[in-house]
Amino acid sequence: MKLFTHNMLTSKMIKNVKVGYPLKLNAAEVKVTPSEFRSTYVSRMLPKIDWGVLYEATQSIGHAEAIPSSISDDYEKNEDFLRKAHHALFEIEVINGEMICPETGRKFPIKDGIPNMLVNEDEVN
Amino acid sequence: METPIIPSDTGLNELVYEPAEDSFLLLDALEQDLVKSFQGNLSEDVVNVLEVGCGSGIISTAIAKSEKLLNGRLPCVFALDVNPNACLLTEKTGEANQVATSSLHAVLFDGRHCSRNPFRVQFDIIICNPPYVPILPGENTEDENSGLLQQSWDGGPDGNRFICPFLSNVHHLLNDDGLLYMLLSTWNDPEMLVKDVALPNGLNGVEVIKRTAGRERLSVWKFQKIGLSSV
Ligand SMILES: C[S@@+](CC[C@H](N)C(=O)[O-])C[C@H]1O[C@@H](n2cnc3c(N)ncnc32)[C@H](O)[C@@H]1O
Repeated sequence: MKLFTHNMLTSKMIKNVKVGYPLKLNAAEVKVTPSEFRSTYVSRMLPKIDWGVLYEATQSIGHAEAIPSSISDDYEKNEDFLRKAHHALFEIEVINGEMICPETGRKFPIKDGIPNMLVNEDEVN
Repeated sequence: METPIIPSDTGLNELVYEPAEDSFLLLDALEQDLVKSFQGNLSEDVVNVLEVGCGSGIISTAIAKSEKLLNGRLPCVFALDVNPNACLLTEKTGEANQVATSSLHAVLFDGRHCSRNPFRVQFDIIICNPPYVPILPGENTEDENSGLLQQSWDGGPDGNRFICPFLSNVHHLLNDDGLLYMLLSTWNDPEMLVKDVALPNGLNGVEVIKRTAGRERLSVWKFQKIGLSSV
């Protein structure tokens, strides 16, 4: 699971959960896989990203140096910054671990790089 | 649109729905309809796409590679399935077809549980080839151990056990000007679904393509939020 996915997911499908975001991230195994850098894609994606949450995520899984704590103002023209953002969003992968709902403590396992967001019927209705 | 190749050396293929007529009809529908229908939000270059029930990943992969169909905008695809092997195979299919890993993201999730959107975004395009075959309890067509695989087609006694809750809730995931493409069979009674399930939940449905495949008559339907659908 890439940190991009973590940035986009909430536990709001669980009944009575108000925000369900950000999910706390615990990683048991992390892998870095180089992937094609497309500057347009990254810069178009950034408005959708919660940078603070991405920063926290890098800190919590041992990649504290990956990105600066705040987003660069001129990121569209700042290739160095976009490359760092690309790395944090799409190259650092949690292979095994879990995400935890901030309101209920419900755990969502991550196994073989796939986040398991399945919930039981009685948790949603 | 190129038809993606499913890698055969993953050890997962036996455990995941193999693309069939339904998959190919849905691909054809997307190829024909997306270019003319997809307006999306013109100020944004990234198109948020969601596939529910991705199986081998054939459709998610095709879309992740289809910038042309989206008028040059870049797709970001989330691929959901209840079968973990499908999620794994989808990522491998993406890789085998040179999809940038930043464009395709698999998540284990039950598509019926979307009465509250678990994503922080809504989607411009949602695609679903659901489990749609009517199967009576105990009437197991294949090997008993393959429960997860059976979920690929098992639509419950009336074929609509997945389709009804999904179609009732999916508007929570869809952008106001978003499009949902869904494959249905005559068994599912598409006209009834459009009138009694989609419409009361604010979705208009029209048929975009149909084909007879053996004893099935398959069709793909396009749904849009009412009030915003173009003529
Ligand atoms: C007919 S197959 C389609 C697979 C692939 N999209 C294709 O067209 O070849 C249906 C898929 O939906 C998945 N599925 C079944 N029930 C589901 C549910 N409740 N939520 C999400 N996916 C589900 C199955 O595991 C299967 O992979």
